[in-house]
Amino acid sequence: MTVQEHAHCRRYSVDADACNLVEIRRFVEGVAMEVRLDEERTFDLKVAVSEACANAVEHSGSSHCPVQIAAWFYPDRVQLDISDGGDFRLPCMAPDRRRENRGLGFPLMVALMDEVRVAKQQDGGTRVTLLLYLDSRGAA
Amino acid sequence: METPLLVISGEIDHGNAPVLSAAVEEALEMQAPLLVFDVTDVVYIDSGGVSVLLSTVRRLRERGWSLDGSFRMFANQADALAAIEEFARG
Repeated sequence: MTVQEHAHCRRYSVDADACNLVEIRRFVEGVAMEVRLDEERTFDLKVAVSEACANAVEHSGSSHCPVQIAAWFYPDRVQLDISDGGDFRLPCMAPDRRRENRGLGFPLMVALMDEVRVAKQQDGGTRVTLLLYLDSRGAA
Repeated sequence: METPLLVISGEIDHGNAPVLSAAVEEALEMQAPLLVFDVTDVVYIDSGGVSVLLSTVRRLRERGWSLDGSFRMFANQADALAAIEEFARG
């Protein structure tokens, strides 16, 4: 038996500039509202997506490269894909060791989301996927 | 001696963390032995904002100040002001 999943998608694209993070969080609030997340899980999702986008901005290297966000709505979960044109770097791989307080974002994503995936894209760039299950912890 | 009071509000993220960093820098230049943060109206802070606060703590340590005494953060404006008054009284 095949379980058919019906997903629809909302997309958002902005220039890779940290000043756009505030707009990205407004987009995530809209996504959270659509799946009726409670206040706490809405905040978790905002933090995780915002941190993923801050990383994307940082390794995009140019504000002309867009950061693209796709929100996929499934019956049991919501999935946020964050794509950029840069190479993913773990904090320990960062070439500039003076930035000693950096690298707090990824652990936050892992702590707040149900699943976090990082993939290299075929055309270069990185895609971070954040998954949140719509279980009793969050769905209204 | 004047005690710097940093009143932070709204959403602090990588986008505006440099503004917070500059304000902290200005406060540190006053060479006051106490920094007071009023974060009552902060609704969001990301790792960029936290980084600024952590590096402030590191800077104070480098000056040899005890953290208990020199870095105070309040989520209540009245408490922030009380801490400054208390310090002024000695």
